Amino acid sequence: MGQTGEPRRGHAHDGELGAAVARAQEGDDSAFAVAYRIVQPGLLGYLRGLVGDEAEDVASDAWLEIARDLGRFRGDGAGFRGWTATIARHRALDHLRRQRVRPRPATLEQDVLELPAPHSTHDQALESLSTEYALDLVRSLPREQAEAVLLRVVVGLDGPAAARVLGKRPGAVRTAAYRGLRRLARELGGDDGVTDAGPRTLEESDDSDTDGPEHG
Amino acid sequence: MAEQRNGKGFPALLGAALRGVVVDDEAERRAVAAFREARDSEAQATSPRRQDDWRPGAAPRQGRGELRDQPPPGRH
Repeated sequence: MGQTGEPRRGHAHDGELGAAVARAQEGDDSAFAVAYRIVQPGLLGYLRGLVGDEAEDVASDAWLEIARDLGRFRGDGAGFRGWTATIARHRALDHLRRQRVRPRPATLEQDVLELPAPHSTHDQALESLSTEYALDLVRSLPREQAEAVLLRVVVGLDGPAAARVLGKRPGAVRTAAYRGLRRLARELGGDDGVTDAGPRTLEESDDSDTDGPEHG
Repeated sequence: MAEQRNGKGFPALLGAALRGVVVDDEAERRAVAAFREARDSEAQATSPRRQDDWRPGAAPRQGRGELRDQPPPGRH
């Protein structure tokens, strides 16, 4: 593997996370709390990208399942990120299915229409990139790209792990993440500045930029 | 260029912005309470299903759309 600086297994807290998960599996509740604090910010960021303001509720449901099934989990800190992201994703998709049955006034499409105007300069945008603005941007992407970006950049999964969460091939997820990041960087008004998410993939498959969302 | 000045790429900045949500203490307490309840329950399952095995090299078969949850094999 090259020196592309890709997000990959080896997240800053993965050693600590793996140790905490192992102790939690032996019954240590303070270790479970440590794991929660390490994982929750990324998980919540991912869920906010999927379900917006309902993210906290969906995360709560996910954590109930994580707590219940922790004894079944096998893996290290990086694996735990992937396992918990998968559980959170399933809860989010359940939530979105229920929402479709129960019409709501605010929809994802509405959020897209209300996307804030681009910042005047790329630098300014990066310096002041607020959580809300960043979320609006990500949610304006096709779902496949948004999820790939969120799993790679926010949850901190490597390509294969993100692909496993999404049930897709690693190459497809890498491409989706790259296109999503490139589109976001352009939205912010600069050169894409996205050099570390897989230019190889771009060369291989950048025949068009039409990314039909496959989730209807 | 911002990337150089910040010493980070765009993905890192975006990730930091999106992780910038406040973690709710009450939510943490609920999660830990659920953990204790599960731990103290005699019915807690410990046998991994395929989707629970995230050890390196344990990647599941994939490449055909969505992975589906499999029922736990041989569970009574």
